[in-house]
Amino acid sequence: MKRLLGVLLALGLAVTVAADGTVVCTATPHSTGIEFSATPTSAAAGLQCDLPAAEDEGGGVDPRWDDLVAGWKLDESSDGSAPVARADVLGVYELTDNNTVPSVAGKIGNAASFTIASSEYFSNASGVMGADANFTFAGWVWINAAAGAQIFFYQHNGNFYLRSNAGNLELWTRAFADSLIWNGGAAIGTGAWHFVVAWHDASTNQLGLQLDDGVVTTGATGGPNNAGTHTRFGTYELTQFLGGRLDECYVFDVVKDAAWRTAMYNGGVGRSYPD
Amino acid sequence: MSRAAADAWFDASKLVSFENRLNARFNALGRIRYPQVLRTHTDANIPADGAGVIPDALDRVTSDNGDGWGKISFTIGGPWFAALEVNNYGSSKGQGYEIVMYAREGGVLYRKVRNRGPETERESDWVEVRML
Repeated sequence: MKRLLGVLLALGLAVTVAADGTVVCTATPHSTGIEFSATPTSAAAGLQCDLPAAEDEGGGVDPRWDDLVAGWKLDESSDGSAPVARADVLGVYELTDNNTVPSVAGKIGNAASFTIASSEYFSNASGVMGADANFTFAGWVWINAAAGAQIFFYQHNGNFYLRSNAGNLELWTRAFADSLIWNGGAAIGTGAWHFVVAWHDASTNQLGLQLDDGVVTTGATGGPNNAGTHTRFGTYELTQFLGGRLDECYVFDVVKDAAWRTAMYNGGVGRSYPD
Repeated sequence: MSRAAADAWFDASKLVSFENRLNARFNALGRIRYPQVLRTHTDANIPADGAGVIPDALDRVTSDNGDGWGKISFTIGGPWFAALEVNNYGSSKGQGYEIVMYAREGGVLYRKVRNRGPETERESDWVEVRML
C-alpha cells in the first residue's frame, strides 16, 4: 500500500486519504480534471484503483524499477545551515538529516556531500531490507580520500555494511555466528563518481559486489543475523563517517542481473527514477 | 564503574542547565537548527574506568556552519567523567537533538543517548559501541 502511494506521488499524482479510508488520486501534471478514487475492500486487497501504465505501456516508470523498495535521488538543496530531510521516491523511507549534510552538484541533479570532521550522516529508524532476504543496492559514490573506513550504506542488525576501507570497496554482513564476512577489494579511486551495485542472494547465501559495471566479486555468507532495525548513510553508529558524496541510491528486494546493472550504469551516465 | 561515574557527574541538574544553553543557542540561530557539538575529547582521551579527564577537543568546530562547544557558553569545571557530543537532526517530523555521553570501561567504549525531539527511538541507556 505504502509503495503504491509512493509510486502515485512520484508520478505527480496528488493523493489524499479521507476519514473513511477512501483514497483519492488526482492527476495534475499531464492532465487536468482527472480524479479517481478507491476504497480498500480488505487489508489483503489493499488499494483498488487503476494505476497509470508503466513506461513500456505508455506510462512513466521503466520496468527496470520493478521491485524497488526505496530510492533517494538526494536532489534536495542544502547549504548546511539547517537540516534538510531527503525524500524516498516511494514516500516511505525518508532520510533524517543529521548534523546538516549540505548538497553539491551530483551525478544527476544534486548530491549529498558528507564531511568526516562534522559527523554528518542520514538516518531512517526502519530497516529497508529484510533479515535474510534478497536485495540489490545501487548508487553513485565519491570519496574525497582513501584513508580509513568510510560507510556508504549501513543497515543495523540486518547487518549489511557497504563501505570504503583504505580506498577499497567492501560489503560486509554480520552472520548468525556474529562473525563478520566481507567481500570486495576493488579500488574505488578518489575525487570522482563511481557506480556501486551490491547484493545479497538469500538462496545461495552469496554477497555480490560490482564497481562501474566491471568485474563482479562474490563471497559466501552464513546469512545476516537479524531483521534490520535502522538504516544509515554515511556512518556506522557514529563511527566510520564518510568524507565524500552520495547520489541516486536505490534498494530493491530482488537480486538484479548483469543486464540490469549495465542498464543502470548507462555508460557512466547513470539513471534517476523513474527513467 | 566508569558509566556510573559518568551518570553521577552529568546529573539531572547539569543536564537541565546544558539543555537550557542548547535551547538558547537554537533561538539565537533563528530556530533553523539546534547547535551541534563535536565530541569534547579525542578518542585516546575519553574518560575510562572511573577516572576524570580534562577535555582536549573543546575547540573543534563543524566545517559547514562553525558550530562547536564555544558557541554554547556552558562551562564545566574540573575533570570530566564522560565525553560529550551533541548531534542535531531534522526530518518532516520536526527538529531535535541528542546529547551523547561516551565512557570507556575495561577497554570497551560505551555510549548513552538522551534524545530531545520527535525521534524518540534515539534514546538509549549505556550500550557498547561495536566496531567493524
